[in-house]
Amino acid sequence: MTAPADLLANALHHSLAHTLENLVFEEALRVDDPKVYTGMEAPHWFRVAVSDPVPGSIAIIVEDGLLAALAKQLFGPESSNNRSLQLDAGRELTNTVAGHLMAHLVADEPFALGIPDDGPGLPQDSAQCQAQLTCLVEGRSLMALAWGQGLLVYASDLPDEAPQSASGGWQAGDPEAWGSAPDADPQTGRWPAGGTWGDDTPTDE
Amino acid sequence: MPRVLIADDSATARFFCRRCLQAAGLIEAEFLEAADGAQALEILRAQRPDLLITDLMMPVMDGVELLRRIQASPKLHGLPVIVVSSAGNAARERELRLLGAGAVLGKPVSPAALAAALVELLPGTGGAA
Repeated sequence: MTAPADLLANALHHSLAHTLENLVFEEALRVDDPKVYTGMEAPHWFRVAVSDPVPGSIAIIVEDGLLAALAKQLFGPESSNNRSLQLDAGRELTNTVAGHLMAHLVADEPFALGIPDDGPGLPQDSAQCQAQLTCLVEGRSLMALAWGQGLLVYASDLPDEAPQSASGGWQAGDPEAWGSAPDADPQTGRWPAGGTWGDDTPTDE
Repeated sequence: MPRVLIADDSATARFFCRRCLQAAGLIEAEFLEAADGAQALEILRAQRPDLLITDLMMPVMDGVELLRRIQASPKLHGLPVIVVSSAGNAARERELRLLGAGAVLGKPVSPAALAAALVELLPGTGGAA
């Protein structure tokens, strides 16, 4: 049986992969190397607080080069020297990941997120996080952290460890991993109103 | 030419939404932007767009209060509204539709989802995605 912290980390990776794929057409290759932070060049953190139904927060730490690359993917080359746009992109990325994660964790309960915040380096309480994962995006490092005992409780209801891909690693955004809470229907953008929670593929509801 | 107001405190979100709307077929449209609900309300009162697309979590005035003000206004009542939010799920959607949202979409929004909403809320526009 997979530990709640690992289930939460898996869910966080799923949300990160889904967001990166749909926002900037990038894959998040999970590597789970706890030493990846020390190799990051000029890391910057982005964090969103969760207030309901349980307190917590979700953070993403991105090195500057990757942040610039993601902003360029979104806005085009004119964002290369626009730090304000790059930071805005990081905040919006984190906001979207947090929302996607919470929609999976709490299914049909309302939830509330705060406005994203950011700063250089690592968040101060990063050592106290409940779940952590590291990824490579375009060969550059990205970390994602989640805090909140309540998030762990919700994560414990998630399906157990997802099947690995043929290559032996995690498949970014693997829809078969998530049977307990749906993404919004990609055609209509709406969530199923109830009934059977399926995977990420569109339903007829 | 339809006039669309996009309200979101994130420049990234506003840009992405505009790009998705254009991909959804709303190529000839005038796009207005607001960084918070209060700014959006000012623009709505001054220019009465054909469609509002709004986030929920915004400073100064959030999306829920913005929806309440629109619903309470004789001039703005009935304005087509699409909520695009990271804080949405089926439970929240019910609440937002009662407040006047015509569609509630999750982030990151897709051209297909916007096209489907446009067919309902702005017939004759979009739907090309």
